Amino acid sequence: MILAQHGWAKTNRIETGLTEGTVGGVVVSPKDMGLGSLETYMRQLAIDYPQADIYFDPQFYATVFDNRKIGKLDQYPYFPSRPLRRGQLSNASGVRPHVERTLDYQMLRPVKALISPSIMTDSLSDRWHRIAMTFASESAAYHSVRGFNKDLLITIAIDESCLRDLNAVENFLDELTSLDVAGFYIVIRRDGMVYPAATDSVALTNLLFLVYSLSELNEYRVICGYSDFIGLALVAVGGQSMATGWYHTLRQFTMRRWQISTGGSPANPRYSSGPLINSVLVSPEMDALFDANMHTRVISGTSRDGDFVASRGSSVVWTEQQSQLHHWEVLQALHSDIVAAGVLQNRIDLLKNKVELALDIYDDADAAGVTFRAESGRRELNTMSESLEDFEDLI
Amino acid sequence: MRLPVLEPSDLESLVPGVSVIGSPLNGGQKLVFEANYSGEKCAVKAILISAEALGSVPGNDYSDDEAIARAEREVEILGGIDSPHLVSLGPVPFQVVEHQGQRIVIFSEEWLSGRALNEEIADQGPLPVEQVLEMALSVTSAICSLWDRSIVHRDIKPGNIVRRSPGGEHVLLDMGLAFDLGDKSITPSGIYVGTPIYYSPDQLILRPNRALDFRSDSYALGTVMYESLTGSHPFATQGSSQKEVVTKIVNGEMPVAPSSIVANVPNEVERLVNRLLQHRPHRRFRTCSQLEAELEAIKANI
Ligand SMILES: Nc1ncnc2c1ncn2[C@@H]1O[C@H](COP(=O)(O)OP(=O)(O)O)[C@@H](O)[C@H]1O
Ligand SMILES: [Mg+2]
Repeated sequence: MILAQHGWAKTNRIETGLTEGTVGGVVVSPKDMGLGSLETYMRQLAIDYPQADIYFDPQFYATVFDNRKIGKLDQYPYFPSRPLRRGQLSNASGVRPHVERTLDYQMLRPVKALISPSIMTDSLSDRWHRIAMTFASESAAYHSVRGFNKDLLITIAIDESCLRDLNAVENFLDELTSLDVAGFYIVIRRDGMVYPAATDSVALTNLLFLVYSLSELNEYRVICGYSDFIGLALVAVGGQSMATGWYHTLRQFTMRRWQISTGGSPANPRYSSGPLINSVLVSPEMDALFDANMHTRVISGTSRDGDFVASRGSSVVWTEQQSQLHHWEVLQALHSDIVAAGVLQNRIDLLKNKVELALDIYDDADAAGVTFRAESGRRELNTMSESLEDFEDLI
Repeated sequence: MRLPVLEPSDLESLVPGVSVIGSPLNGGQKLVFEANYSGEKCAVKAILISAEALGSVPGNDYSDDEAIARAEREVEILGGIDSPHLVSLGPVPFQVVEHQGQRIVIFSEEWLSGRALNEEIADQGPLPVEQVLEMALSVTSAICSLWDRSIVHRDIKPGNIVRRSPGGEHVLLDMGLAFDLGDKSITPSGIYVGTPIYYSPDQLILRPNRALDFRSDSYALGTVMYESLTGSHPFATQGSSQKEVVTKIVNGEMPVAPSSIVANVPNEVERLVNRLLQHRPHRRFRTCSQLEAELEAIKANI
């Protein structure tokens, strides 16, 4: 399932996505909406879209960020008013009150499952990591003691660099899989301040392995937050849902969103291409593809594509809102293809095949003299393809 | 560990009412007497706690009190769990006796008149797949009953799997190492008391912050299934030492496929055994019921 990764917004994109069925639910962001408004918003969504899966990411991990721009988070009763220091969390009794407040808060909201508080870590072996594991085990324990009738998802919030060492990831998995919970909500912090940041291929391989072990082998429900096209690979290896939003900062988790005040980034408009499994700049990249008469090969063929084509060379504008809703449509279509492929191996084969076809288009575009910026080009596809291969050797 | 010096006639006079049949058995740690007690057939077990001549029993790093607590724990566990595949307690109550300068713990179990799995394998070699699956389901059910109470058996091996009656169902015994995770004090970690060639890597490699869970027992079940299917231990070849075997387990080596040793091992069975023998617990089964369901599905398919 594709989930909308909610953020600051003035429009009703999420409602449109839910109505159109391109997203099956939403992960709301308390950082971006005040307490009262968000509570009303969730209640209304639950009434209008009873089938939608609503999740509340407590974003507790932001309590340890430096120079934190925590937005509206300080309005929430579970969120610590001052940054937490390591010493305050070094034992279970320091962690427990945070766990109780965070889960109690969600229990009263119309959410599908509770998401545990955690902290963001840079390593899978230091003391902060132990603290994150204490958050996990305390959350599981509190959830079971209270007998909550909603499932619990444990937050895994880690820096991408944690994923570079397979042995550390396997140790981590041995620990995680001893938790008696329904699943996990995964947030991977990426270094890059630009979008899309280059994905590290070793880290991606190990992330695929992490998601595969949790979902396929250990039968947990796994939600991959802040996902983009790469999220499709996570779905192929077993992830149940990927959450993705409209701003670039909602498609990749970077510190940027927590360090500078963000509205949206009115970056250059991009076009999400299903056949390319990537987004490219409307101008000049899509222009060049049209000029080379290659546009039919990259057009996604979703319901908004007619509007996109019509907007070319006319006064009709392809709005940012359209482009964002289109992004969900495209991901949804790719996602359904992958899920429909059936078992693990078939899903992987299908995605690999799609990646090959996309690379062919890039080859032909090259030959036709179309050039791309690094992030619109083959880079992420090559990484995905390499990582999928390496992943298959691991399992 | 040492066995107590205890003749059947000594036992009969130490515990009035017991009458011993035949000569005692042992698995290395206990003397096991086939006996009658108030008209009931049972197994009376004797564990040496300490002997005057030796002080504490060599190989037993525990104090007397700890050793007694351990034994009492085994008996409590058995008494507290009602599972058809765990041996049940017999009529002779738990007691500590003194005999010729030895302190001996005595307790009893139902008498299992069938054979132990190690004997079956020794006599028959590779066992039929159906039989192995049946045994695996029984042992899994025992492992699950223990794990429901956060208990890890820690010494699952063919010698501790015995049929209740000739050709009857398999029963898991010898909870000597089992310990309640809620009561970690009883067995200090890091001391090997059992048979390490049936240990899981999780038992052999001590990792801080990580307690053993049922997945450790499921690895041992994998070893037992492999041995039952092929007639030989996955990591022991002719003449290999215990140390060599343990090294292979610790290093996460994978054994040769059972199907390369004996014909007719179905794919699904091989895959299951392979999964149980994974070095990493997360690559095995997360829950006992998943393992149980998988075994049931395979059995139904064969
Ligand atoms: N309840 C029983 N009924 C029949 N035989 C038993 C029983 N318990 C143990 N035995 C036999 O005695 C052997 C040793 O018993 P066990 O409890 O495993 O002691 P040890 O700690 O010495 O391994 C077993 O391998 C089995 O052959
Ligand atoms: Mg034994």
